[in-house]
Amino acid sequence: MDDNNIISLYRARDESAITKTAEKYGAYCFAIAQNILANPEDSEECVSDTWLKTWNLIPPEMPKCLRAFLGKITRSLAFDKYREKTSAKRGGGETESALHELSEVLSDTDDTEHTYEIKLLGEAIDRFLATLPRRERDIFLCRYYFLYPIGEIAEKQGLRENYTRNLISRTKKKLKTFLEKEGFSV
Amino acid sequence: MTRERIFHAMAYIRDDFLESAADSMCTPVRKRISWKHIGALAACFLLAVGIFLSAQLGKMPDMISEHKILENADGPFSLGTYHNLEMQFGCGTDGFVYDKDAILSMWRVAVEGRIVEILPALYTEPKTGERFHILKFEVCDVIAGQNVPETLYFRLEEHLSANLLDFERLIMGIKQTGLENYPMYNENEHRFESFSLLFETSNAHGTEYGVFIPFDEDTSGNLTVSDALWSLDGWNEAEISYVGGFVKEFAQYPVKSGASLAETKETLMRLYETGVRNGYDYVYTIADFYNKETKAVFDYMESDANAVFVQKVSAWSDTIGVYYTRYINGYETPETIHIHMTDRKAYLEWWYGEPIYTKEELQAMPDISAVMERLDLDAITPPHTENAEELTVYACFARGEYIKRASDSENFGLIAITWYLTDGGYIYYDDLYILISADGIYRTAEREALAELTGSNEYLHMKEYNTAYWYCDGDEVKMLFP
Repeated sequence: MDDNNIISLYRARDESAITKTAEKYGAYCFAIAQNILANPEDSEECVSDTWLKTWNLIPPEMPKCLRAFLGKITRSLAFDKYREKTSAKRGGGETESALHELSEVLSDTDDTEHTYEIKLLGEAIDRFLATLPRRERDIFLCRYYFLYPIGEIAEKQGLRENYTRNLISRTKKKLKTFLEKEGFSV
Repeated sequence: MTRERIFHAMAYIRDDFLESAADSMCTPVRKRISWKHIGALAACFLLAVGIFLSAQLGKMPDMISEHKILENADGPFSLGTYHNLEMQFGCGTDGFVYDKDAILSMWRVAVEGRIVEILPALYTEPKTGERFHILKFEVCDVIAGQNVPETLYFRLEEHLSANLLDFERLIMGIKQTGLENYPMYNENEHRFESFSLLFETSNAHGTEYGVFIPFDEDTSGNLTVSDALWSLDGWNEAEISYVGGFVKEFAQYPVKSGASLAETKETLMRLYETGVRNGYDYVYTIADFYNKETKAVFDYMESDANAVFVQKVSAWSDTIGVYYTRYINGYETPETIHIHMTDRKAYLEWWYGEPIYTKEELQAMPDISAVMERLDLDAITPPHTENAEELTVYACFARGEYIKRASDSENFGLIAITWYLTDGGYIYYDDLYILISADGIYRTAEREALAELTGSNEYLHMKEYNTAYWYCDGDEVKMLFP
């Protein structure tokens, strides 16, 4: 079933919308959650929460791209769960590793954590990504948006792991320079 | 935490980037391809792209061609369908002086005279859908104001205009309607019509009591104030508004009815002068203030070459900020003057923005009106919307302005047409830009081309095509994305 038909089911408040979404995007959302949580049970729970949240959001939301819409919800829910679980102790895994890598890009001295400023930052990152060649952008997002391990990214892209690691590192430096020019504290 | 901030910020990355990245992980493991293969693949790809583009160009519909716009100049234009909508869904040209902003010029002109004609057509204000008659007024005497023409045109709400023909003489406090060459939509002829100097007598809050002072001949043949007007339908609901200064006071004058014309004018003059000196209200206080403290700016604005500015005023408790934008033939330009005054006269600064047009440039500006007047919005299909023909036009808006090319500062006119299309529930957005050069040639342009031309995207609407931004639930329009 195509995305428009699935969205129509949501709009009609037809509960089969959830089944159809799960059939089509269950694995995708699970992969996103699993990359963050590294725990199948938690990831399953997160995916279920994604369906519920989607059911509550559509309508009035009318996503242009259902997959990206679901991915954003899953990612956000998974991260909330990750924070909840690691509030007592900080664990390892791809999330911690990717977050640690990203912390090199932006300074901790910048204390602006408001939603609006996060949005501005997001838009700046988006502008930066628009300047990158497609493959470099894909790799960067696979690592820092979807939190895939570098080895898995390299494999899927048909690249050597070292090369992929270096590419990510260079992209990160370019992002840092870009954000500096955009006036973000780095 | 900073790293979490970046993590969350990445939620604002556009969907197609995420899609591409997700796809790159879903596709089978890629094998490295040798350069020999790449050459062959590239050749095939170029061939395929060439065939595809040829096919697309061959079947591209002629929906936005200049030819069609011109041919449909006299076609039906159902502006009436857009009435009663919110401002953001209005249809017409921009360059409006909004009600509060317009008060600075209110009561600069008070005239005595008579109405000689009501123009036959019914006119619609393109921004709000309000209907007006336009009245031709012969001026006998100017009580306040400078350079007032002997014959002037003013607009009055449709249901009020006929009554004024019954009076021998009128004194009116009037203001210019926004801009030079103000565009109104002629309902009878289905086209925009520009008025070089249009006045109006009421503001957005409704007709004001005291704006008109009607005179009739008494039994001795003398002209005396008649308050018969104010008991007629429509007029009896007129308000005493917060603007209006001296006429407002006159309306409360105890012997208004039966006063002679000479006496009335004398009273008005006295009130006007007192009002200007002391500041009856906010309007006069500011006007007085400006005239003393910003003479250089006013000299510039009021010179013949620059008399096309429109005032926009914002005031706070301790600061007055004035932002003047030059309008040429009714269309906004990027030329501005900023004035900041704090704590009354204690602090003042003002500066010109960029650009500042030269006289030669002003004389050679592209004629946006000439193109605007030929637009038939019903005949243009929203160009970026999939299956646009299956959607209904919820509202349509055409806005003209002047822009400069970044590379050589050449001036262009720009008309932005925006559509709000609905499937009965969701409302989608589309737009089309028409670029007009000084020699009158005009063409459509996409956002990317305009951003490159101007070096900025400030003139562009950045909403995505084929995306629902609003949901219409009965009379209520909900915004889906903040």
